[in-house]
Amino acid sequence: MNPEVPAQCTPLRILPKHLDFSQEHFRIGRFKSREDLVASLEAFGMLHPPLLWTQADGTLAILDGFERLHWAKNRGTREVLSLVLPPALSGNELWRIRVQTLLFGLPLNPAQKAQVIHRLSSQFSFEQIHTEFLPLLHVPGRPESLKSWCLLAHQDHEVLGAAAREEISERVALELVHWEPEAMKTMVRVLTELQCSASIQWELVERIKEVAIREALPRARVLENLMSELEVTPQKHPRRKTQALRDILERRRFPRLKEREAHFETLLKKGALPNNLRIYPPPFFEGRNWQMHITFSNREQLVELLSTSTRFALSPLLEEMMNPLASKSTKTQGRS
Amino acid sequence: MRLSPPKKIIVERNVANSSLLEQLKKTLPQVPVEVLNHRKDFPKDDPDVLEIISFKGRLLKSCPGTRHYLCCGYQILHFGVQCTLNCTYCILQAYLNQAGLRLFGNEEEIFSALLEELNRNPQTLYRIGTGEYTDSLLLDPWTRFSRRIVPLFARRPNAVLELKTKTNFVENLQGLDHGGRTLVGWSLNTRSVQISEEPRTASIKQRIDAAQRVSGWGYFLSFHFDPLIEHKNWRQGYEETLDRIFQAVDPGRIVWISLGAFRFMPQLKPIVQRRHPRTRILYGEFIRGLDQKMRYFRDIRVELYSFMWETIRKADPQLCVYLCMESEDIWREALGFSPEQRGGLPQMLDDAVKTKMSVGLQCIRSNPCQGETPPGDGGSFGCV
Repeated sequence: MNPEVPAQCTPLRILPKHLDFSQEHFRIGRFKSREDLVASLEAFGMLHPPLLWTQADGTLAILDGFERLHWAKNRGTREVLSLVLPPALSGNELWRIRVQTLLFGLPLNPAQKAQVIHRLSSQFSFEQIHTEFLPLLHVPGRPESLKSWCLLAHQDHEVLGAAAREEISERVALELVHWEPEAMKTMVRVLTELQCSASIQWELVERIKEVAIREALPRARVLENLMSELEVTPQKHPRRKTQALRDILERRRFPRLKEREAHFETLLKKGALPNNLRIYPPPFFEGRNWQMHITFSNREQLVELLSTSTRFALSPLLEEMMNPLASKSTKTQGRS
Repeated sequence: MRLSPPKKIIVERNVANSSLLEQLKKTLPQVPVEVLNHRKDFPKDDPDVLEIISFKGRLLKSCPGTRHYLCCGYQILHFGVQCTLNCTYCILQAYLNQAGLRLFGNEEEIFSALLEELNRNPQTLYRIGTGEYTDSLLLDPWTRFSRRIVPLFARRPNAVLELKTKTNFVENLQGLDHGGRTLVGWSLNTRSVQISEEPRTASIKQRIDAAQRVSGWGYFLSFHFDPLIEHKNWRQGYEETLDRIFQAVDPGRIVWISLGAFRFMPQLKPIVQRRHPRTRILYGEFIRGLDQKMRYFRDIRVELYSFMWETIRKADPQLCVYLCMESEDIWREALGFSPEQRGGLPQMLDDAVKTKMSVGLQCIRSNPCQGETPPGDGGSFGCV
């Protein structure tokens, strides 16, 4: 960083009509409405001067303050007090200054970060971006993440808008850019509709990705299947709809486990145990520690429940619950 | 199977006169050798460099066992680390913080510590292997390590050596005085898994051909179906591999066959995703096991093991088959018995050694599993 840079700025009163608005090289769009900014400008005017740069041909390009200057132009403001940088500055120096201007306003949204990183990638080496800029932007510096950020910067308004409004989380946005375009768009729409938390978004995206790999299907096709399955569920509330989708995905990702769970529940119903006597398998049926919970309020009730549980323990239902494969093969052998 | 020689050998000064280095200079005369004072001066993460260092840790390590999953009581002789076979599922990717192959140059010290241990416990039967932290025979064409270690066991009354590999580098084993105390073991899989997940290894046919050759030289054999992977047409694939084995070799020469369904530490998943983006093996129905490793949901494991067990039994009902790191309930469900009924898993394997190899008949103790957790807590080893 050149410590002399601030001293190189010259405060000047500029006529907005003299600005080169077509030069958007340094523009980092927010991809969401700035009603708050407009309201502030209307009420108090421009409290911070925009930053301009004198191009080689003498025209002025905007480095920071695009929206404020557009507002001024549209409002017909005659003069705007601005800070103007001299033409001698290199592209790298200008970008270093531009990044600094972004650091002390509102936190950058993922769409903005993506644009900054993408622009920096054409100006600086990976090493420079990694060590100098990513920490400033609070972006984890994994080698593969730079590519994802650049891909995000190339997405259309719908995707960048969803990322900017945090309808899709940053992590999810950076994953979706690696999906086929059709699948990515559908997923963005689904997540926008579901309004679920970042962690659930990630779970859904991961599950869909894994199902697609597992079944050797394009992600778009998996999503298509899921959506048609989801349509027949009566759930309309986003939270319930999210849960329905999670359940569908869980069944598809872990069919054998879900089948076993369903079988367990069926046998439990068949056993007609009272509500205050519950049986719990070990997590994922792994290991041998099954549990029985008995809730009672007096001696007679406990005696009755123990007698019920003994009857159940001696019935073939428990054996089938605990060893369904063995029971199945015994039955098959019996039949043959 | 072809093996590219290293581009360079780097040696720690205190093993610069080792017989291992002398051997490498003969078999790899074109490879430059650099001697450095300390290991810390070695370049990091260069897979083209073969490092020779002096090993100061424990040379014999117990095979990992946990409270929940039964272990075989195997002893690992540590002669080197890492492997360049690059199998997609290999645990070595996750827990060794160096990419290059590393061998221990202080062989004489290793051998004398080994003999001392064997002499100290004459009533204990040792099953010792070298293929846990690297492949036993991968570098053998250059190091000729087998020619030095196999004869060492030839007259031991209380130990057998198992060399485990996915290569067909068996030439050095020919003509050795092995005394019937060395088993050569192959990790096997279906043909399709070999092609997709172990592309740099010898083909299944090459491995079984090699097994046939060493069997002809009087060696005993072992086979390890680890990792068993649930994939399309897995039954047909595993049956084909088993058929090939039993057509090629006399089951009487096979001391044991182990089975281990694919399992991995959760930390391995992102590493495999990054290093092998095309593999599908991570997307089976994995659940977190009692030892925190990811394992196939139990019904899938039982199905894999039952199928293998029944297929093997058709060929030889007496053959010793064991499950690697599985719980007692899975043993019972898949194989119909628990190792405890046969004196425990180490005892079962010792009995196989005594019956088939007639070694350790006077031994009254098995080497117990010490429940030690190795770096990385185990998983599907590329080299088993």
